[in-house]
This record gives sequence, structure tokens and C-alpha cells, in this order.
Amino acid sequence: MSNEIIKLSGVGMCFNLGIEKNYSFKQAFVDGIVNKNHRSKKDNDFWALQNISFSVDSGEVVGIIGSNGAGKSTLLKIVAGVMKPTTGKIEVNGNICPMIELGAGFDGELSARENVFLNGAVMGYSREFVNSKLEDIIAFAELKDFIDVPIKNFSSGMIARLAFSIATLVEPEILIVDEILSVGDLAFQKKSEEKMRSMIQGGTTVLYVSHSLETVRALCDRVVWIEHGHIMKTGATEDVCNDYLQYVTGRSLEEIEQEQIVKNRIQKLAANGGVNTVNGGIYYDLGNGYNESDKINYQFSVLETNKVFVKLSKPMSAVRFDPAEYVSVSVSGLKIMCGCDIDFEWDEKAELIRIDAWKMNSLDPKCIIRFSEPIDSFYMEFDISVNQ
Amino acid sequence: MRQIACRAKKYSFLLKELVIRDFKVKYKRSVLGMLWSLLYPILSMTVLTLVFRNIFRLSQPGVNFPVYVMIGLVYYNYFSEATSTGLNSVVQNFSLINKVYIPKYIFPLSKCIFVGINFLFTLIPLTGVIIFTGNAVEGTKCYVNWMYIFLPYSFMCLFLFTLGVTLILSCITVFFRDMVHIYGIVVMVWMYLTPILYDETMLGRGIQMVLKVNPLYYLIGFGRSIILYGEMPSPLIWIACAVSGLGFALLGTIVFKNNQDKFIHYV
Repeated sequence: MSNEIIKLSGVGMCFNLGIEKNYSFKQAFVDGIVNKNHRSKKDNDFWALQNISFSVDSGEVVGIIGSNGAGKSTLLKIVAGVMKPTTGKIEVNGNICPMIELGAGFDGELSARENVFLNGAVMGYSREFVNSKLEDIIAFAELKDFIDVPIKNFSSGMIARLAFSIATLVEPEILIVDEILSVGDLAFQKKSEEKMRSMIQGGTTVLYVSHSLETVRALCDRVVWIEHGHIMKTGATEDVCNDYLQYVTGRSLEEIEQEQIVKNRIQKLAANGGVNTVNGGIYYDLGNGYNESDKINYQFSVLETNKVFVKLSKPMSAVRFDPAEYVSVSVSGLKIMCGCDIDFEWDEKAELIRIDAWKMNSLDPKCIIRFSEPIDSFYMEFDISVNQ
Repeated sequence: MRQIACRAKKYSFLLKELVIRDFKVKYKRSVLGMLWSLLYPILSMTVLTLVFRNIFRLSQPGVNFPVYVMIGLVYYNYFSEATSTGLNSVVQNFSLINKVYIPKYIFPLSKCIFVGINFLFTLIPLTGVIIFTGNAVEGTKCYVNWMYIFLPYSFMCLFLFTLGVTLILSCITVFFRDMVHIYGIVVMVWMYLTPILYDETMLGRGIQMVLKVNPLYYLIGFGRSIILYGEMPSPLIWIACAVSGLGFALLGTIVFKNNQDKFIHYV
């Protein structure tokens, strides 16, 4: 027996845009009498999904990505049983907890406690079961002091927290998540992400829709990419995410990666407590290689252009320039990505040397600067941050 | 069959919660709360009795007019309130239907049950009025008797009939929101086509025929026959009650079932 828990075969969903809106007696009357031949239905047909087939094994975490209006939410609604597909078949074996929109079915007049029961009931659980989970839910949502307050007085963050707690603590077999991990304040976001992870480890099958490729990469085993109602690609997370990125940005993978590197650097610097200087140095060879003792130390800023005046103890035909030393304590989180070291040729007798140091993709970036004739002093200008 | 039973059990809790929610929301912030369910029928009966007995002189000799009016009111109010609130129930819960799978019939059903529980409360003042006015008018047979054990039969039929109508109405409302406005008038016309305040014998033959196709006529007639006249309802009334109850419940179920998958497109 296969353990396919969700199986879609050839699913298509058609909306008739004409009847979606403003259909009233008046319209029906007009259509019936004046306009005997009905407004042609075909014109207004809109296929939100077409020929979607994939399956999800039990315990798998499948991400669904795609542009806005690609049909992701429609797909989730079909899986959740809210909509019936126009064509094709869907099989679901297991109880589903849809978190398509948090807090659906809350009643503002009722208290948090009453809403927990109502929401539990909506999801099809029994009173005893919800009762046994009540404590945990309220504790997880951190709403102990507000349990008997009508939720119309709650902040939207509080409501979202409550909804998230209900949805996850009932431990469903299949969890449908539509962009909800960014709920509540930072602390709660962390907590909810941990909760998701522990559920995933506990074997919950998850369908996860998100625009954040980062979380998709972190959580999902497999990814389905949908565009204009068609499956573009299904497969391993990395592959599909990369293709999707290329499709969306219209740029090559390298370019995207490059940009990502810079972004990561800035993020990590921020995470490092705002450290924005790195230690680097200029090494010179006195005949026995580049040694730690023959070095001029500098502190470089990663966020602005550095201009340093280099004065060597005697004229040199080459120096080694290390813009950032990876081992340096203050930048333990910083990573200047791998690539090849560059050798930098300088023909003229230099006064000012310009280097795009951020493009030097190395864990321990360094470059050799050669001069056409030995010099003992020069200015150097370079960026090791985003350089446009 | 087992699947249906299993589902029914699964969603019985939801049904209960929805009914509880309605109660909580309805009586929130009102000082008298549930007491209104008891007071309202007495007050409206008093007003109507005074108006129709003293101004229109409609009361029949030998009939306990307050009880006559009140039976009609209690039955009719159940029907009109349940259908009017149930009419909107699916549309109002679209936000929910749009996000989670729930059997959609649960909304009209919960409204019918909620108003039904209110209906049971209104039986208390009705009984009060029967006891207090029972011997006021000479020659009436209006007192509590053993045949009251058959009254729940008419309640059941009334419930099924109302449920059927509500299912159909809530379904129509999804497609035509105009129904909300139209139905207000329908309820009013229906009320005057039901002998609540007057006796059917006061009408001409033609209109009497119209009354006879009104299921509420039989349902109210069942109650009046037992409460007001101490008589066993005629077999015709027994059958008419069952037919209108089961018939409409069945019709409503079929209409609703055939259309419920289309609801989502008319949000």
C-alpha cells in the first residue's frame, strides 16, 4: 500500500467571471426577457488551475510557490475541500487542518475561551478533545490573562496568535499553511517556527504556501511551482527554487546568487550587533613569503568606500592585499564567498588603486597587487560592501 | 450509512457550538437576557388581543381569545423567525465556508434549532396564559389535558417544515441576495394568510381554499384543537402535518444538496 496522503490527478478549476459578481433578480430578469440568448459563458471562463497532478506522501513537507494569482490559494482550497474541482479528482486520506486564513470563524463577541471551542468545532473536533487542549492552547498563545475577554478587544496580533495556537496544537495529520509564519511579534514568530518544525519532525504532512523562499528552503522536502494555473516544475527544493528565482527576476543564477551574498553579508553584519568594520591588511614580501610580521594592519568599513594611504618600509614590486580577514573575531558571522583569488596587475606607477573587493569571492579574500616598478607608497580605494 | 452517522457525530459538536454562540450573542448586554424569550410572546399577545378584540371585535363567543391568538403567534413566530434568520445564515458565514470544509447545511439547521429552543421557552408563558385564563370565559374547554402528549408531534412537524423552507430560502439567497428584502414582505403576507388573529370561518370560500394549502394552517390547527377545544385533531390534520413536515424537509434537502457545491462561486 502506498502512503500517498494527498493525491491530485488532472485537477482543474474554472471560475465564471461573469456570474461571480452582481447577479441579482434584476440581472436574471433582464437576461431572461431581454437577452434571450444568454451571455456567452465561454467568454467569461477563467481557468484558475489546469491539469494539476501531484501527490504528497505522508510525513512529507511540500512547498507551493508561484507568483501572485498563480492559483496557489485555489489549490489549497481544493485540497481543504472548500471547493470542488471542475475537472479531475482529488483524494485526501486524513484529517486536515487548514490554516488558509487565521482566525476564520472567530466571533468577536465571544471570549477567547469560547472561540477556542467554536474554532475547534469548526475544524471538526469533539468537545472533550478541545477541552483537553484548552490549557495548552491558551498558554502557547500567551493569553492567559485575557481568556475571558471578548476577542473584539484583542489586537490583531493576539488574534493571530490564538488562531495559530488552535491550528497547531490540535495536531492534525495534514496541515495546510498559507503564509502564516510571520505572525505576532519576533518572539512568537520564533516560537511558532519551532512549533512547525517539531510538528514536521513528528510526521505531520504539510502543504506550505509561501513567498519567502528562505522558509520554503528551510522547511520543505519538495516544491511544486505553479504559474498561471499550470505546474511549471515539481522536484527537489533547491532546483525548483532556483528556477523560480530565475524566472521571477529574469536574471541568471550567478547574478542572483551574487546579490544574495551581499544581502546575506549585510544581514549577518546587522545580526553581529552592528559591527561594520573588518580587519584587513597589506602584506609585503621581504624575500621569504608573505608573513604575519610583515604586515600593515587596517580597519576597513564594510558599508562605505575605504580610502587608505599605504606606506611601505621599502619599495616593493608586489603586495598582498587582504580586505577582510575571516579569522578576525569581530566578523565571525561574515562570509565573503568562495571563488578564485584575483591577481591585480598595475601597470603604471600608481597613485591610486581601485579595487572592487566585494567581488573577491573567497572565505579569506586576498589579492596580489603587482606594480610595474617598485613603489613604497600609494593610495588605495575600495568597497567591501554593496558596490553599484 | 456508517459514514453519515460518523459525520453527524463529528459535526454535532459544531452544531451545538453554533447554537450556543447564537444564544450568547443574542442576549449579550441585555439586562433581562433569556427572560425576553418569555416576556416577548406575552407582550405581543397582549397587544394583539387588545387591538383585535376591542377594536376589530374579532373574538368568537366560547373561545378563549388570548390563548387562540397566542397559539397562532407562538407557532407562526417560530416559523417566521427561523426562516428569516436562517435565510441569511449561509451568506453570513461565507468567510468560514470559504476557508474550511464544513457541511453547509449546518448553518440553516443551527438557526432552526436555536430558534426552536427559544420556541420551547415560549411554551412556558403559553402554559401560564392557559392556566390563568382557562376558566375566565365560560364554556371554553381550554385547560391542560392528557392530549398534550401529542403536541410534540406538531412541534416536530413544524420544525421539519421550517427547516425545509429555510434550506430552500438560504439556498436561493446565495444566488439572489434580493431574497432578503423580498422575504420580509412574504412573511407579512403569509402571516395574514394564516388564521392567527381571525377565525377561518369569517372568510369567504375562495380565501378559505387558499388557507387550506398553507401548511401552517394545519400545524396551528393541530395545536388549537388540543389546547383550545380539548379535541383530538382530525386524521386529515394529522396527515397534513406529517406531509408538510416531511415533504418540505425532503424537498429542502434535495434543493440544498444539489446546489451547495455552487455556493463558493457566489461569495
